[in-house]
Amino acid sequence: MDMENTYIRFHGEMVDLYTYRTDIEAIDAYNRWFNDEDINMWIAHNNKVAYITEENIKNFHEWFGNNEYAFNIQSKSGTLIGHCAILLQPNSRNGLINILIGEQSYRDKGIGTSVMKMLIKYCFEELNLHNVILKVKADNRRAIKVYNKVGFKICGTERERAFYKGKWCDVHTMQILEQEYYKLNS
Amino acid sequence: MNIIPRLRGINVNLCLFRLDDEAIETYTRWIADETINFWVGQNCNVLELRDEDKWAKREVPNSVKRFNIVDRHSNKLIGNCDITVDEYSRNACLGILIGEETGRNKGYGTETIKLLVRYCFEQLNMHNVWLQVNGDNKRAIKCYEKAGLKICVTEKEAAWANNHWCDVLTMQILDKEYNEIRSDYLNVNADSIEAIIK
Repeated sequence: MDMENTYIRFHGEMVDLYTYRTDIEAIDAYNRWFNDEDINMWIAHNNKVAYITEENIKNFHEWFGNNEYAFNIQSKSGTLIGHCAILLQPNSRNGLINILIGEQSYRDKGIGTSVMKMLIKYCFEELNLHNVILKVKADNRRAIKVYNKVGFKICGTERERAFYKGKWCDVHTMQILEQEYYKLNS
Repeated sequence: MNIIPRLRGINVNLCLFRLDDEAIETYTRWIADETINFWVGQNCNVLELRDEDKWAKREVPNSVKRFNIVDRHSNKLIGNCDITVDEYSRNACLGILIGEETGRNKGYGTETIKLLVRYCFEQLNMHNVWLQVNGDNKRAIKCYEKAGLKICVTEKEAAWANNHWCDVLTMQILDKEYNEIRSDYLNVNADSIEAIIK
């Protein structure tokens, strides 16, 4: 199977961010991640059976639209290990971040922190955003620790917003503002 | 004019969403007026006539239920509201706009929200009903609180208007909270369904 051309966008310390792939090999990885219950328990719609095809990933792209920047996360040796995206609301200079490390063997290595640093640097220093937010299940303590580390703070909690493993789960909104980012990174 | 009630209140009816030219012109007038669009979060956009036409006529998925708010006394279209249902997690997101000045400060907003919340829990079997509101919009926040919604998220400086950053609040009500205050809701419908069933 041919690998689609993909281009490096950001050079990180541990991993790099590449332009988003839609070839068969990449789709295969996305399907594997979204259907693995140890992985998808943290994302929305974890109860769905995901089946992305070449056909519907085109719609996926349309759905991403002009206001979404999506990247593949690749290891230094070129393995596709996850993806991430920034959804922009340009009028209010807001951004919403999504991140997924799909390959289990790359977990607990600080890769999430490294990717988050690249993403918020891009959000504030290049996209000139004022406010960056993300949503996270309250049970996902490992992720919350990562987001705290790069400067996000919980700004509220939607009670019983998501359902998984037989119970309702709270969802936190976390945010970091422009001035908070520059205070941490000056 | 096709005014077809779907949910009946005391002062307002929530009616099937109209797509005729007259109705779309009304929506456009509301959304274009800076004294009205102020809270909609689109006050920085200048719409063209065709934009609103496109918005109204676009295909909406089944998960979006749109209604016209109609004054029962004058039979006049005064605003729009909608419910976006996420059936997987039994969440519903509400949107409301009272476009006509004559529909303001009469409790019509509270009544509309109550009709929607009641419908979400009693008919759609939702677990959580939520909405977002600009933190400066005190009148709306008061109205949502009257219907039992509580502030759960305060996003600081998430919207820009009138030369300053405004907070954006998320408010929610859970099914169990609704059941605690359900007696406040029983006089919302003009023709009580309970009475009809009996």
